[in-house]
Amino acid sequence: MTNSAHSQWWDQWLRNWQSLAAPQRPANPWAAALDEWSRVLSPPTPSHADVFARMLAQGKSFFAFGDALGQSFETHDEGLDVQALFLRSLESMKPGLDAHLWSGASAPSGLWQLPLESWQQTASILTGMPVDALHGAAGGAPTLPWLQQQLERMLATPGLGYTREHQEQLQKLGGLMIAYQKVFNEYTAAYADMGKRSIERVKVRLKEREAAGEPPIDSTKELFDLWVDCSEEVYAEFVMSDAYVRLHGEMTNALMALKMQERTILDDSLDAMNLPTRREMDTLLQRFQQTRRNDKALQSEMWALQTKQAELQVRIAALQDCLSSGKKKKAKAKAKAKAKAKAKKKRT
Amino acid sequence: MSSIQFRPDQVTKEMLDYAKKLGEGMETLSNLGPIETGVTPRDAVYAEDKLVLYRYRHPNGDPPRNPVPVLIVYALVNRPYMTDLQENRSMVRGLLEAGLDVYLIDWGYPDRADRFLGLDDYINGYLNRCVNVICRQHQREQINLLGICQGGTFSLCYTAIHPHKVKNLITMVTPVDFQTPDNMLSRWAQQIDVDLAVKAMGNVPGELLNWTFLTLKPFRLMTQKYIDTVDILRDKKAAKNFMRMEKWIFDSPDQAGEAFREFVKQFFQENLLIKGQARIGEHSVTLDKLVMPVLNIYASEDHLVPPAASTALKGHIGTKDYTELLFPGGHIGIYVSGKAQKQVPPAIGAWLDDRT
Repeated sequence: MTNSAHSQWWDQWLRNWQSLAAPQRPANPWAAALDEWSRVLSPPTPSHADVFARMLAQGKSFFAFGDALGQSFETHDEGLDVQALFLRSLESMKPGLDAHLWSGASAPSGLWQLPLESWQQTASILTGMPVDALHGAAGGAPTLPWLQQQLERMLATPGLGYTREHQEQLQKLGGLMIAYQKVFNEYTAAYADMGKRSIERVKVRLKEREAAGEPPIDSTKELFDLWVDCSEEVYAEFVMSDAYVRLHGEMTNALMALKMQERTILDDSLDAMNLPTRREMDTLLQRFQQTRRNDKALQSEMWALQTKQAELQVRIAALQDCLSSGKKKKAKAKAKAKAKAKAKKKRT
Repeated sequence: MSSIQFRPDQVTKEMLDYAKKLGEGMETLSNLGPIETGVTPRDAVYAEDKLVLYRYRHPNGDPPRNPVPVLIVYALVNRPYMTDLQENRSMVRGLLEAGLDVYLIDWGYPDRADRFLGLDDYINGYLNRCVNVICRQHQREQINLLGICQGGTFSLCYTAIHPHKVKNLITMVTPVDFQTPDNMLSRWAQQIDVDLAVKAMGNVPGELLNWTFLTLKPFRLMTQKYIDTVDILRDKKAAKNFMRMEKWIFDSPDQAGEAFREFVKQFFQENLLIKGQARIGEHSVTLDKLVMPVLNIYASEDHLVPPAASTALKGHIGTKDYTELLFPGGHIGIYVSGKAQKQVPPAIGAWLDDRT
């Protein structure tokens, strides 16, 4: 697709959208259009695919913000107070913020969802479990408390029979998964709370601007940047708190405990199949590393000895030179004395 | 007066403009081709395992003015081509132009076979052997060391253990006090069970480190940056610069598990470097062993290594010849910004010339 083709596509889309009667228009027209547009894009080169994906995702986040603004304008007549509408629009976001964080909806509050989404992907890579499995079904919705209780009761049932140990390992895995989900839910709730506080912060900033007589905000982008600034401020305050440090530690440790249990179960299975386990590999690697250290230490000692030997050889050669020149001198002196004595004898 | 003043049709126009720019940007990116980094010609002079020691060639073939070679020790957590990103953004080039003979250690990408590489292996092993190679090549007993970020911490440890091998020490954006109140990374590390994490993961994946670094400023680094970039992507040159940075940011090697465990425990969690209680293998590390001249360069807007974390060095070293250089910028800007190119390498060159 060429630049002019992109431009034409968007112009045509806008004409179509404007021709629709208000009730027929989609809820998030710009974000939806971006999805549609991205499907007609020529595929990026694999090395640039990640950047493409990130730019599209963040473009969508910006469009969702614009959509929310647009919607609030549409429901009001001419002569509107943009600031009042914007604040109302922000306020209306609050109750749904938790829901948006769970559902991954393309809403302006998606700004607060991104760090969580990226954590979910990282956790999924680490454990090898799909995002849904790790963070609850239905797009990451928190596990219902009663269901969680049932699961916990089931997992507490003692194992029986020949496979008792294996059952216990699986039960432990289930328990650790629930423990991780619980702390992840707490983590997500903290994010939702920060999101709500960022809305309050925007209101404060707008009032401050007004009081200071600063020039008004005259573009969606400027307004979006203000929200980013406020979000960053609120976030920076919270993530330095003891509460966050505890939560971050608990979530990471819960994920690591889960991963460790996965590894234990996998190792047991490999062991049963007479295949090398991770435990065995670690033992070998540790021994190997120690052998390499010893080897390097010996090499270094050898090199030091060789250097010393070379130095000694130089000194020996110098001494030999010295000795041989001493001998020569002595012989020369002796010959000289002999010649002298001979000459004296001759004279007498 | 209201703080927001624009009309609904402005929103539509802005969205449309943005969409068109995004289209143009995508088109530029599609036709950009491969992204090259590491531009200054260099020769591999030593290799061991995944490590390669490079020596950079002088642009005009002249011999370096300063006879004492400089070894750049970069961090393990990112790739060292940040110091030589592109022709007009290259700290290495600046150092060569300042008359220095520049070497750099590329630690490579550790894999599972490197799981048990510890700090002792990195500092008293790899780094020491690189110093030996350079000393032998130049028939010198001492060289200059330039440590960057985590590589700066490594250089401090190395110099404290082997002070007779370092003529001058330069540290750049280097954490020394790991527990200053504004150190976000350190706060986050406090409650992590790093023994369990390394036992579970083996090596620490680069993706996890990336997530950590990006979430220091998530809305700027994960969202706003990409939205703002749309404005410059029409320009192929600007797009290439952007892609180079993107490549570097997401090019995070996995971390050898044991070294990571020791680094987080000793430095972030227990802050042993500043307490004079760090241990690297059989050696204790006390900063008062640093009796050679020290130049400490830090960045005023550094969000990864806060200035106070670097300047703490002053009160703990043995030398009286201590110089600080404040760079007005951030942790990345100190290598790549135009301002940095003009200020930092010439200042290093002049400081070393005065001490050679």
